Amino acid sequence: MLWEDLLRGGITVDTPEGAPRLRSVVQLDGDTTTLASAAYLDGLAADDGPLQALMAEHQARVAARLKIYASLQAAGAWLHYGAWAASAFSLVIGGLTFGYTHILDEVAPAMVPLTIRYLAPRVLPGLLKLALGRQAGVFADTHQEVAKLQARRNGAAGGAGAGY
Amino acid sequence: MSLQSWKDRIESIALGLLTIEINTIRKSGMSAQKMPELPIALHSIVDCYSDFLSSGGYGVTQALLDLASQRIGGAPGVNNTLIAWKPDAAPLDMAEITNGAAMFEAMRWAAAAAIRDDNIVLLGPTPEKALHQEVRAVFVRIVSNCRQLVPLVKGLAAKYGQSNELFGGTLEETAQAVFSGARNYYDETDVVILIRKVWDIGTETVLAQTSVQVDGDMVTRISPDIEGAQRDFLLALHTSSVKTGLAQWQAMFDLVKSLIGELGRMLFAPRP
Repeated sequence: MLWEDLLRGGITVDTPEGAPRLRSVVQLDGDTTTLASAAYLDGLAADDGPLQALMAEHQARVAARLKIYASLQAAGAWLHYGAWAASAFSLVIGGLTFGYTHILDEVAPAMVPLTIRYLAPRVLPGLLKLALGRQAGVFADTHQEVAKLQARRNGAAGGAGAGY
Repeated sequence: MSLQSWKDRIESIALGLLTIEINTIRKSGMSAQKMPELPIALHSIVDCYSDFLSSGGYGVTQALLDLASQRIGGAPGVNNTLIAWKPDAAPLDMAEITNGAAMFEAMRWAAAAAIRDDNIVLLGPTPEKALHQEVRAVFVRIVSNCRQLVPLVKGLAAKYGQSNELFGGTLEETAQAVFSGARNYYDETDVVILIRKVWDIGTETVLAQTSVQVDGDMVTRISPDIEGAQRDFLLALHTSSVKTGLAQWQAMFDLVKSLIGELGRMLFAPRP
């Protein structure tokens, strides 16, 4: 989901879902980390067929999830054009009230960029935080991670690597 | 890395766009778990790094943690003591370690001590007893990442700390603060990106790495430790990841280009 990806700093794709043998993390700036499960690789060391099938499935999944960034770009474009539409609407209302010449000469050139600049950093984080209330998945992962760390620190479990 | 303004954050992400790095890693103990919230992710990183340092004989001691606290507090004359630090006491109890800046500073100096001692072995009469190059690479990674994380965690603690429970508390304290609903630290995109990278790689061995710079320079490093039977698969997987990373990079540049183009048209297009 887009919001979860943004919260976690990148898209995470697991293949197969739920018990990943391959995981790719594609970050906003293009940095990409791909992890292969050692246990799975060792189990299939002599047989190349399933590995190739798994990789093909993984590539398809990654490609599908990357489309989410196209959605983000589209949302950005809509925000951009929406801001211009709102500005134009405001000008029409202002023009009908005070006269177009006065509005165009004195107020609009100063107000439009200032308004966009003022609102964008205030509205977008607000929308992001509003969406956080629905991020049950992120919080469930946090609970799971805390339980795992507590177990490790109490000496009850092992495991390598940060996180998963 | 700054936590002060949107301009700084955008600048930080833009700088990140100048190069991309693609890593392929073989990971043991992999499950479906995704990255938790930032304070807990920092605990995971501390857990992972301190485990690695302890297993190498360089666990963080209370004395080292005190020195690290003094250093980030700006106390003079601590550097030489830190440079000469040796692991001469038992490591900290895991229940006492925190996710604060002092802990990352202490881990940085512990890893630096391991590299220093390895340098001495390499130059001595028995260089064959030096660390395996992949192990040494992880110590170097810990130094580098902790150096970046210290100012970042200090900034987070100053901004969202709540008596340093979120960014400077023990696991129990942090978990309590996180679950009590203090979740207002998500607008730090550049911070999330950096912590995410550190969390993802942990102390695992990087089998293949490709770095691409904006001027077209590309460097690929392949570990000699890739086992023969899996070599083809892992290299094909890495190639696929490089394509994915480059496509994402291209998309980000296209976005920036379109925004700049729009601005140019707005400013310079001929008026009717």
